[in-house]
Amino acid sequence: AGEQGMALRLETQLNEAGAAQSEGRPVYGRADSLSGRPGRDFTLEGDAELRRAGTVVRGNRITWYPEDEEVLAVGAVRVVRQGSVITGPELRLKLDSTEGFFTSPSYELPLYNGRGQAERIDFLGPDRIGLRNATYTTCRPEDPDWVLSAEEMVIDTEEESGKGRWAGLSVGGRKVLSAPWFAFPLGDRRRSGFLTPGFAMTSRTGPEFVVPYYWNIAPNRDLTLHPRVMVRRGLQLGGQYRYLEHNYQGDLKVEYTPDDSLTGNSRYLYSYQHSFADLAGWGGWVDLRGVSDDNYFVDYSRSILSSSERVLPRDVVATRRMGDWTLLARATRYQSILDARRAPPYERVPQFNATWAKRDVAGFDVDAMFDATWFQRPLQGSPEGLRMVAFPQVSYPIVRPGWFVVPKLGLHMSSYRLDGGSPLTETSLHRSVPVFSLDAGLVFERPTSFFGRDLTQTLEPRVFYARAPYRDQSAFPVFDTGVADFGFPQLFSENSFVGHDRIADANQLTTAVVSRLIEPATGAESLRFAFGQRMYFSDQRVSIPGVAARNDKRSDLLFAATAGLGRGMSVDAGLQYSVRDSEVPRLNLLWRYLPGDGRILNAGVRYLRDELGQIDTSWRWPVAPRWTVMGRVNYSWLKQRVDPASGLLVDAKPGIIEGVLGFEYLVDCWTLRFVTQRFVTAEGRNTSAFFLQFELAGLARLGSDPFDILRRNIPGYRLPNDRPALPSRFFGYE
Amino acid sequence: ERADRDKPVNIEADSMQYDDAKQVNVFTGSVTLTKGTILIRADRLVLRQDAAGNQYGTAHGNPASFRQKRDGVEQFIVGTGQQITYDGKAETVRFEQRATLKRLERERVTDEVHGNLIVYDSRSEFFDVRSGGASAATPENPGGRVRVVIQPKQAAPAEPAPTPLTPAQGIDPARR
Amino acid sequence: CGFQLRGSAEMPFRTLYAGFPPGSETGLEFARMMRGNDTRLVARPQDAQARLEVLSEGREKEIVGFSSTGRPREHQLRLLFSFRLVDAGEEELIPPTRLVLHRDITTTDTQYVAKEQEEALLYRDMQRDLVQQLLRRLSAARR
Repeated sequence: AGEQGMALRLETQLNEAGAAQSEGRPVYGRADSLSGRPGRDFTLEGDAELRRAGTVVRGNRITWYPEDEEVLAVGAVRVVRQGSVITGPELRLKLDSTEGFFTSPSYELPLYNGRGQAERIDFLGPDRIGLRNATYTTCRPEDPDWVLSAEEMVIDTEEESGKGRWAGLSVGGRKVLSAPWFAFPLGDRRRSGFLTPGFAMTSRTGPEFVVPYYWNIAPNRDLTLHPRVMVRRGLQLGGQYRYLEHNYQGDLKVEYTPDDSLTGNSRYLYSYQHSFADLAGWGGWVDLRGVSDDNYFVDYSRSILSSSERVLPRDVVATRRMGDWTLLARATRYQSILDARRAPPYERVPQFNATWAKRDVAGFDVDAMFDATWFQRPLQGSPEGLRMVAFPQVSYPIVRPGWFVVPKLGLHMSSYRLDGGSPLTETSLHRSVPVFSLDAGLVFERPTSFFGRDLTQTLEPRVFYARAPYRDQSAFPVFDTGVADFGFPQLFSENSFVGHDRIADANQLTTAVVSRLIEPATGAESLRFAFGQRMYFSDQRVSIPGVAARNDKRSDLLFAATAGLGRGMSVDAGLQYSVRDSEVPRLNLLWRYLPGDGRILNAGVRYLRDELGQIDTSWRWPVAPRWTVMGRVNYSWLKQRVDPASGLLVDAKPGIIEGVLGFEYLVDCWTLRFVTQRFVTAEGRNTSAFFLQFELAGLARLGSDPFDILRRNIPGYRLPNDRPALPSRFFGYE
Repeated sequence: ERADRDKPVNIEADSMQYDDAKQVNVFTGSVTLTKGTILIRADRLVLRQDAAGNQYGTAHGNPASFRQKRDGVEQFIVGTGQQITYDGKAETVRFEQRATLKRLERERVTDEVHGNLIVYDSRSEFFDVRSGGASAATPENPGGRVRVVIQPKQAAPAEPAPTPLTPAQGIDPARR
Repeated sequence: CGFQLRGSAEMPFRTLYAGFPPGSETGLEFARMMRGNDTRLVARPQDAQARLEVLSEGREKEIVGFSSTGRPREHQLRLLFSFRLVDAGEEELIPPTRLVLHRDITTTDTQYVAKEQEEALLYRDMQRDLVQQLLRRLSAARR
């Protein structure tokens, strides 16, 4: 018979469960000498230590009374218990009910970097200590820059909060604030209360003051109210309600200005996102947004993000999976504001879509998509109506580790029932276009070494041939179709258009090669190069209004590279080179340095001929022992640009599109943060704002919080004193 | 127990010599001494008696062990050490070198003390433990300090179900 | 020059349970690409020698390029995926790993609906890329 005994297994991680309950656990003691009567009292002397499930007591002399489980310690006493360390001359403590007192102790909460002294500490249960004439600070004990003192204070490590009566706050030795009652957070757990009030100055609203209040209704439900007083516009009431349930969640934001003194009317914004799963078998989402007038964002926004929205969706979608079928029902309307009014998108009222996918039917993959959408015209004079599309495709994928061949044949059938704006448009149109594609590639590998690290280098040539006959589609309306960006994803798709209103005629061959450097131990990709180009064997005759048909023989050359250079440095580049006019119509270049110790350096160039030309740098760098400078400059150098609506070349003014400059003075327990920001909202008009914030680490943040702006503008930015995500039970273990 | 004071002593051993000069009996070889509830086991025991009839014994063993029932309570005190010295007059027992003292309640250890020198006064049931410092260092107790383990006071928590014993399929010659 | 055709991309386990949420497109793509090697996908975690735990899968879209008038001209779409691989005895074969892929897409105010469809194309492309990297990492996992 095999070995029957219990096999011992090496435990790889400390066990987080375990010492929850402390009754019925043995007590361990160590000392230079020990005396006592068994069962009645034990006295350990000389560097004595007594330990029981989660509590450690040290001192010159410790007496333990097992009968009522009480410990009396005298002389340099140190108690370590659930993340709190208390030291003092004398302690009396009942271990099971954790009652007792400590005379003139000093205490430390390593988890929250908080510490202080007190005249006396009373233990009030496993997680609460009561302090008399106590102080609390997160500064270094030697000369704390700020101290919170209180006649009576209760610290609850379970609730992660502290309460003080007759409390006083002194900064730099001078009493700054005193209050009969004072509560302060230990960790950053969500709890109801006033968030730090914000003060900002923007050119659109003048000086403004926000006093947000956070109501933590339930662990999965909260409400934030942020009334905003704007000197030049008056009072604005804002709120955000969030809820999270097992199979649905949602987020509702509302802003309402009863009387905007500059425009004299009431203005509002609403934004409601809700997603649900398995509701009677259906999942889906709702996305409803709207504003009272076109200039709402330009006037009220405090970031370039919201001031750039032009199309607000009102979208309701429901989807369901049934076996191999995926069904979708959708209704979408839009509110277009400002220059988006000139060419607002078509609205889908409603859309029904069904996709069927069957895998590995005797080696074949069969996919079919059926769609029926009623498009409603946004502008008078443009056609609208029902479009029905059926697009079955069958492919025979042969996939092997070293190579793959995937032939695919599809038939794109569509028919339109139109009631055209102008009498010329026919009322019903039909079209069916067969589409054939062949995707094939090889994967070569060889071991190599780079800077002394041995890696696997791959070489992956790939070809993609697409063939589709020409069908005259000039009479067909353009509901949801546009030209896809020319890039690697588009190189390997049959149709150069996106959407179902145009199926481009094609007789083209894409050739591309990808080479990667892969770490053999983890399979991680540390470097990737890619080249690609497409050969056209015939001119493309299908087009959409405003886009010239293509007639060159070879496409632009595409190049892309991403590389991790080690020590936190990485490069990401994408280039499109036009062989015909030997110039670069598109370029993206990004260099990043994130060593991980808080220093950040990003530098990048983005160029899109006649549309976008920006040099974007952002940084966070310590410049002096306590000073950190951070910021971003996004400079556009274009002298002319294409006006999207009219398509004509117009002049452009080079300048800073968005600039952020910030200073952070960080002492171990307080931070002063100053951030100023400027961004362009329209031709020659921009908004500037500045924020000032004083933060007592772990206690409170006063002043407006620029954190979101810094996080968005400086990729990789984090608050300096972020605590470890989930402190383990063994944090600060002795 | 207190009653042990006037209980007779009987000793079994492989061999016994009487040293006339020092007036001591020396027992060697798996020595067991019983006196009432006291039980001493050792490899070698030197026993002396003074004029008033009090007996003094010094036992050596690897380790030598001492066992006595507590007065009026179903509990036993068990001690071990390289050398155990029993003083009949003062009713004290000294355990030396890797000394341990345990209190058992119906075979369950309730307290356990380790040290280099333990003195146990069975009349007042008071014990005193000294650490031997570095000289008494052992692998699991490098500082040679005194260690104590005190079990919780209330009734022993339900014993974990003993691991089920599976009957042996047969006599396994290899296992001999 | 030392290149040969990639041989077997064997994974160090015969059966794998992929813990993708139901209906996840990445999960469908993963199943399709798994047909290229000998490891079999099983429906129940208990029957698998190794279990791929999908810790989180999320999408992000952020404006990265502005025209001189502050109008967004380029967005960056990101696919964030973090996973870990454990064997039947809960031993970690691959520690929690986070993969971030991104594609850039130009934006105009006019073709809003077309750009929505192009985003779906880019996300599918990122999913295919993600699955390829995932397969490489799984076959590099060592007992």
